[in-house]
Amino acid sequence: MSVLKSILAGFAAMAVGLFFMGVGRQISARLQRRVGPPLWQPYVDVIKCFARKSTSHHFIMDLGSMMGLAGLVAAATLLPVAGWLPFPSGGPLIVILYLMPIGYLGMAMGVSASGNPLAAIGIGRALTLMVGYEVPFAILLLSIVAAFNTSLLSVMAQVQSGGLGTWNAVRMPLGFIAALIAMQAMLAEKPFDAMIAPAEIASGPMVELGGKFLGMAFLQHAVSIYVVTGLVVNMFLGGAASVPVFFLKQLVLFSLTMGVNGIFARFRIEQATAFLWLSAGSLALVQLVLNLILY
Amino acid sequence: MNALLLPLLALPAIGIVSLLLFRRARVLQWLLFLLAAGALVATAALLYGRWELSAGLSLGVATLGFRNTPLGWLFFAFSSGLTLFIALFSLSYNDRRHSSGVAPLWMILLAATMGIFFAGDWIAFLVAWEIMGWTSFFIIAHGRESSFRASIYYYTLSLIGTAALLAALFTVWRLTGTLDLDGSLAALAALWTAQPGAVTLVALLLAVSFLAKSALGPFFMWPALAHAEAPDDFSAYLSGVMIKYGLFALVRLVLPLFGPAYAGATVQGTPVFLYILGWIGGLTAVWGTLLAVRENDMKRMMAYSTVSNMGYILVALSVNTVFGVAAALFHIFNHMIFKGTIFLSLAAVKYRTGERQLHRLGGLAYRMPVTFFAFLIGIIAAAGIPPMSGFASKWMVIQSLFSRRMLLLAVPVLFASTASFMYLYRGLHGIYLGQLSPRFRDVRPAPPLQMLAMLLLMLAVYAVGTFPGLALLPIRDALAGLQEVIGAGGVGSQIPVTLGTIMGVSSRINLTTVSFVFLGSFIGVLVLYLLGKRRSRVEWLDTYTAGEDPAEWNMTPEQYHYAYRFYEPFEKMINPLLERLSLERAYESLARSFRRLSGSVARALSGGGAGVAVALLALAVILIVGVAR
Repeated sequence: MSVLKSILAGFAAMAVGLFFMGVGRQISARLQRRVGPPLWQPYVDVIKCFARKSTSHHFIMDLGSMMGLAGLVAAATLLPVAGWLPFPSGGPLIVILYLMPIGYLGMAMGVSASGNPLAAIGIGRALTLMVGYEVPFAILLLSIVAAFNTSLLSVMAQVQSGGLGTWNAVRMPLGFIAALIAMQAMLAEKPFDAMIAPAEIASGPMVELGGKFLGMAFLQHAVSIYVVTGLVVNMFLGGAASVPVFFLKQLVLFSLTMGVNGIFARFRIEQATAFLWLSAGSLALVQLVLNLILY
Repeated sequence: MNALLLPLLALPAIGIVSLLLFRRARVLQWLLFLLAAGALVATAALLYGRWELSAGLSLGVATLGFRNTPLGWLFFAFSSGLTLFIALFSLSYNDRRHSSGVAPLWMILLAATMGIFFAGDWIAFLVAWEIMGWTSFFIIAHGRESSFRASIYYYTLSLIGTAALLAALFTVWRLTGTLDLDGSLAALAALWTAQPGAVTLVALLLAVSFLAKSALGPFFMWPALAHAEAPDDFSAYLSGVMIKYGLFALVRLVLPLFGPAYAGATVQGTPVFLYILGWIGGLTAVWGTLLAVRENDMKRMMAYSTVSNMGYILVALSVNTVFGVAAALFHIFNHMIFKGTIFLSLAAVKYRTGERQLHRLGGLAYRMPVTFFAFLIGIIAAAGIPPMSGFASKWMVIQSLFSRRMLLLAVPVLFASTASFMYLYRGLHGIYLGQLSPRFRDVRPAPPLQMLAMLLLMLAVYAVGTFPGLALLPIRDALAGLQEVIGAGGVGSQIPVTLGTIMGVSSRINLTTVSFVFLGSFIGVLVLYLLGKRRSRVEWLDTYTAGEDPAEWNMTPEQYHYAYRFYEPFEKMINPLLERLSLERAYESLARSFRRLSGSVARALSGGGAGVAVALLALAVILIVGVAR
């Protein structure tokens, strides 16, 4: 039974993530005064990608692409959605934060095996940026542990279930701002998209991907949108009482991200990392110290 | 003569005999070494549970006492297991072209290792420590000029450590009147109210000695030299076993000083001394990681990675609870197996290619798949990513910090842990992926015995990652006897663990489930992949280049391999910091003043005539007599 539920959770993550992507493209289009693609366009894209011929350089490339998606799907099955989980895990935040990198490293390994230097440059940037956003995010985890002594997402959501005043976004505003900045970088949206930089390094990691490899990269991005926004909803926006409300909160967060994406230019990678440490990192650190004193 | 004493005496004897008899037949030496490693594993099996076993070795002036303790046994069993895998690898590695001829010395080193783990009194500990020091000195040098320089460096640090250890030994004897390890430690721990300064001095002297051995704090730089220049298969032993001596000794000799009888100041429930050690550990973790990120030599990179892992372990020890010590021991064990795997994989690469610089390698995964997978599994574990071992122990380190609310100390740990992805991936890309150089087109896979050793280690890494209890249950049993010696009771005084689950402070994880979740997701994705349309294989130079053909602008695969200064933007950020805080410069100026001093003394002795020499001698005699009285 829990196997079936897990499969359901995996597909839901992909489907919801793709829907968010569709909304995101609409937002970008409207900000640029275009009509934009229809909401179902990402689904069509993925299906089309899987139906097309593709090329690969070695089976390590195939393996890496699969590891990339699998890591994020595994993280998605551990994410509590309005308290619902496919199997009783409680939503261990540390495990999720360490399962997501296997996705990124799998992707990295796959595109490295393609031998394209542009891909390697992109991955180098992505990993540099990862140090930029993971450290503030980890400090946020610590500040929540300082306050409630738990690293389980479901418990975090429960603690905040008493209405707007109990939300961590209200109780820990500095931490929430840090989380929003880190989230922007986690989703690789502008100004933190130097690793993709289409005009500069030809989409970086994605440069050699075609057909179903590109399709899996799309799905990976969709699931990462789902997981990252889900983490922030559970950590700061009080989780949700029902599944649609949860998705709605995720969508609001993602729309915000896409709005920022639409109006900013790109940071160079060392600027982006330094900015993340100085802004999100120091905000999160102040929040941690505050929580250590207050709770 | 019992099972404890026999290997201690037999191993050096076999080593010396094999050195004398089989000088021409080095394969025989390595075969003997493999047998010795097997015998050690058998000894470990024999010794299990026989905690009353002790042995004395009378040397006329003093008796060396050895005792079988659960903690010593644990380290002995873990290290013997790893030694067996390395010995298997070495048998194949040391062929006519690559032989380093260190097997006899290595056997003496194995005996010294056993001596350190089972020492029952300070004299035995010191003797074993010294033998370990000079055997490893000769092994690292192994008859090469560049290696010799690294070895001198290593030995100088060892000497500093030994001097501190000797001073500690004298102080202990003076304070307690006994040289028995457990007896003197218990006596010292009871002295906190009467003579806090003296106990702190002992702890400080011991800490200097053991931090130097484990490359912690200001001693971070010797592994980069020694690991890189040592024989390639010995590097796995250096990083897997030898660097842990200091940590073992910290658990065995320093932590008991801060037991329940501790009466000094505390920070967040842990003694100030240990709290400072914890921050040294945290900063070492960050420092090692930053140095590894900008390193272009694969063995030096992994040596710095070892330094940063030693930092995590020291952080866990500084918590001073049984849970923290369990986390430290678990990470020590995990580091043994995954860094062993990584270094053996690098040794196999060096065996086939003779290269160490990342930008001169590349694409070897396509020729040496098993070696590649050994490295991959190793780095997944080193990055602390489930489902490999390494995640569980890093998780426990973090949880042990939670138990004392030492959350600020968790920040450097988490930073180092995240930044480690950078250099680990760089190793994977530089050595194994990217473009395959035409020079290595005909490289063959690693020899079967080397592959076997790597496969067995990979299996161990995966098995412990899925069932952490395989290592944690023995650790829990070994620590059961230390309950009353370590730290304050209450918080973290137990290690609630089963085969698959660990109960932490902020949550409880089931690693078996996590492992199966990942496996299940992978199978799901595999189905998706198979549903997609078939892919075709193309060559590595057949990549997207905006319509240009690399061959037309004389691009070779080597030039196309992006590996040199891989993280240039990041280096630009951290280099100013690393250069401003460079400890090497401070050491160099220290070395210059020492050279000046020794030069002027030498001049005075040779030029100034006998007067100065007599004066110095008289000064020495006066000092000795004064101290003796």
